[in-house]
Amino acid sequence: MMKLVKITLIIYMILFMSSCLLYYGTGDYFFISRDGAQIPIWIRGNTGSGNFIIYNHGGPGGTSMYYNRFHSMQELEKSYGIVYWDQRSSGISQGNPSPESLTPENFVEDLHAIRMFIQQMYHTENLFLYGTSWGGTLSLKYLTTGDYQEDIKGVIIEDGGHNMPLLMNTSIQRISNFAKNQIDDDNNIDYWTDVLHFFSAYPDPTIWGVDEFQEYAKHLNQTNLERTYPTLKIEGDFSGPGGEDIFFSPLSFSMFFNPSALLPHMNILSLDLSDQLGAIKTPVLLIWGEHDYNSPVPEMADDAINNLLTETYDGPIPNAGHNPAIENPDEFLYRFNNFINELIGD
Amino acid sequence: MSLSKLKILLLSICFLNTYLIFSGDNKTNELSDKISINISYLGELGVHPGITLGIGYTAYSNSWYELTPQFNVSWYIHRRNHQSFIMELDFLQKAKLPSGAFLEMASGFGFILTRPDAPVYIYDDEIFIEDGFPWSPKFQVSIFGGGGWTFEGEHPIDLYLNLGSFLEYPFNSYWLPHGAIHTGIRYSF
Repeated sequence: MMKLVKITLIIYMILFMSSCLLYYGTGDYFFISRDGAQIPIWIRGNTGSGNFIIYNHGGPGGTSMYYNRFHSMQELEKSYGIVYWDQRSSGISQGNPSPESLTPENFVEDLHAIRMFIQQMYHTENLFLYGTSWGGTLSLKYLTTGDYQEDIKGVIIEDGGHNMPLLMNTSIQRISNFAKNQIDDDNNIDYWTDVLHFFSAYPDPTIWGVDEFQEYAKHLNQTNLERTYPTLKIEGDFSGPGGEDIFFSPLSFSMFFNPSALLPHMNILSLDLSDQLGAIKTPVLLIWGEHDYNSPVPEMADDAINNLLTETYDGPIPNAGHNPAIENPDEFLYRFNNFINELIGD
Repeated sequence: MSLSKLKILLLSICFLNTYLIFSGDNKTNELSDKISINISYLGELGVHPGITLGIGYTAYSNSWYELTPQFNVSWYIHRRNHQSFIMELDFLQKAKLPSGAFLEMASGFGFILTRPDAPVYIYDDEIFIEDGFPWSPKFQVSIFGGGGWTFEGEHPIDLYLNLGSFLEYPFNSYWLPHGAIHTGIRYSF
């Protein structure tokens, strides 16, 4: 009997030890508790450089906690301290914030808390914001709030959505045109006909609810799946989180459930910052992928350029869609690093 | 299965268990024969390690079936995500098979204390104060199923492996499901 107990205990010891070996243990990790949310922050990379970049993930409802595995972020970490954080009720953010706290304005206050924390905990010489998609929208909203843009050295907006009505209308146009082309080519005619019927039945996205938005998102993803470009470059090393990341990283199942709790309470489809962009004095780098159907160019870039006074934009990045950092990392990094180096004088 | 259906299922199991406890034959008569203790590895998603300790009271038993309410306390850690401390009452139902094997299912409820697994700083008006007790109490329900082997003797020992799920509420206003395994030993006095 004792032999059985001993064998069992040895097996459990092995289970315990193997569980602890593979965690992602690098960098600094904290949580900020604010207004009901417990927000994770992961600081990685070259924190000794004094140059920090706060990464604002997309969504709303996404996560930044596996972005450090993309080639482009690993390259950026060699030069800068990168601050990954998950917004309230998004990704692996915890707590139990009230539905009333799920507003873009409160997300701005969360970002301000992150920014203040980084400035107080580290010797930051230069602080940048980098936002992807909704994270770009959040970054620009942050800059147009009070005096928050002070001491922000620069902002990088990757395929942002500063004008959601324009974004949605142009995106729907792209998807509809794509659907018509698919029908003309006798490709999955029933599905693409349904797509056109959906957009005809629900023509005004500013009054959509979650169901309509999710239907739109499904069709958008379908265009991305069926759209192929001979030059499209997907980073080979890492294309998204897999089993290793789910089981041996800070990621959890909440990243799949949090968006469903967030989206019914935070509808950003009528959010339009175009008129406020002129108040931004901070240098802004605009990056767009030429094949982005989510936030299409040239319409979205033109609107940003017409309203911003401090922008840098070198045209759409070729061979890229909604995530140039992933799809064309070399060109993305070239523009990103040039922008920062010009501002910090390297 | 939707969460509302899961809640109905768990409640139904609880009612059935209560009925069995207060009805039917019970071959176990001595109080000391009815007590068991258990210790198990709790792996949230299998690999986030923890431990469960429990004590059970076999309320109903016949030649092929046992019903044992258990009180369990558990702790586990998901590094850089969260730690949890669980106190739970569950109902363990065991179907005994020939030659010592058994199938079992446990369903229960209780509460769970969770905290982020990293320093937590409370932010207020551009001031940060480290939270000395960042634990949050929540409700918890669970359901596990699996099987094992009974090593017969004066004091039988069960070796078991159960897979299942527990849910915590409120987590961002919803029931957050966790997958988990329990594997351990149960010692009967």
